[in-house]
Amino acid sequence: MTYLFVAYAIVWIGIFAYSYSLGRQAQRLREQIEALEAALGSRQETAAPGAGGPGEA
Amino acid sequence: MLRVLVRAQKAVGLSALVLVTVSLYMVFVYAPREATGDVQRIFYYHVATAWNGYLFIAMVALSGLLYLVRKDEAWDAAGRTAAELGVLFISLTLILGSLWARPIWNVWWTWDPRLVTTLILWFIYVAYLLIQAGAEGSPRLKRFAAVFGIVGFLDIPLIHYSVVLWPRGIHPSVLRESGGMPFPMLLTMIVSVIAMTLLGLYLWGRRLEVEELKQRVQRLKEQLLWP
Repeated sequence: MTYLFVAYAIVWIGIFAYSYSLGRQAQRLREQIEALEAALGSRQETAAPGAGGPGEA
Repeated sequence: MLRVLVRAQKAVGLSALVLVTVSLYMVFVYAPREATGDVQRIFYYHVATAWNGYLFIAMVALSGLLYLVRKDEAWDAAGRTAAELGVLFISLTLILGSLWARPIWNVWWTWDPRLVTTLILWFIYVAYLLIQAGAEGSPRLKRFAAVFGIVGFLDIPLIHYSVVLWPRGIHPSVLRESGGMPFPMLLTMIVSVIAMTLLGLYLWGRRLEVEELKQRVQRLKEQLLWP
């Protein structure tokens, strides 16, 4: 019975560990995407006043 | 096809959860106790993880072939991610086999042809992952990895036919003798295999999503550096 318990425990620990690592990676990447998009957005905003050209003057 | 897997993640995951619960009930309650005792119940997930290992290794080979033909990076990513799952499931197969062998054969490991060819398969795809880890930005290494992944797949028929090629091996060939397997045991094995396959596909979908996110981060970084 011990071998049976250990066998199924290893299967589920292995699968959950892999699944958890995927979740962590996805979370970290989503945070990175948010930060990068915010940086891109703020750069476009700062570039916008100058991009108006002569018509804006 | 791969995009469908990423989008249908929740549905696949939910189906896997239901079927895994059913399979565990069948393994521990429904399936009859065999002559060798309860330890035989390891067999159901041993077969299911082995099947998944073969399935994902087949995906590596197929993705490699498509990458060589179409030169599409998406197929390279598909192969790389499938190999991760292939190695995970083959590792579980070897561990489960060892945990079954200890009380039945009185050894953790024996140099049986099927065990050795399976261990070789594990080494091949660990090597494949190492090649892929160093292949970032190198199409030549990616092509090499693709060929390596295709050639490595040839070990699977060798594992399957090792029982015939080397008849002195002691690994039981349960599927070949399935005529003698009672119906509840056969049904439990089939349900376990389907449950694990769905779980494997769910994990692959999540792994492919991580790959998509990595590519998005890369594109955004490039936009920031070179607007």
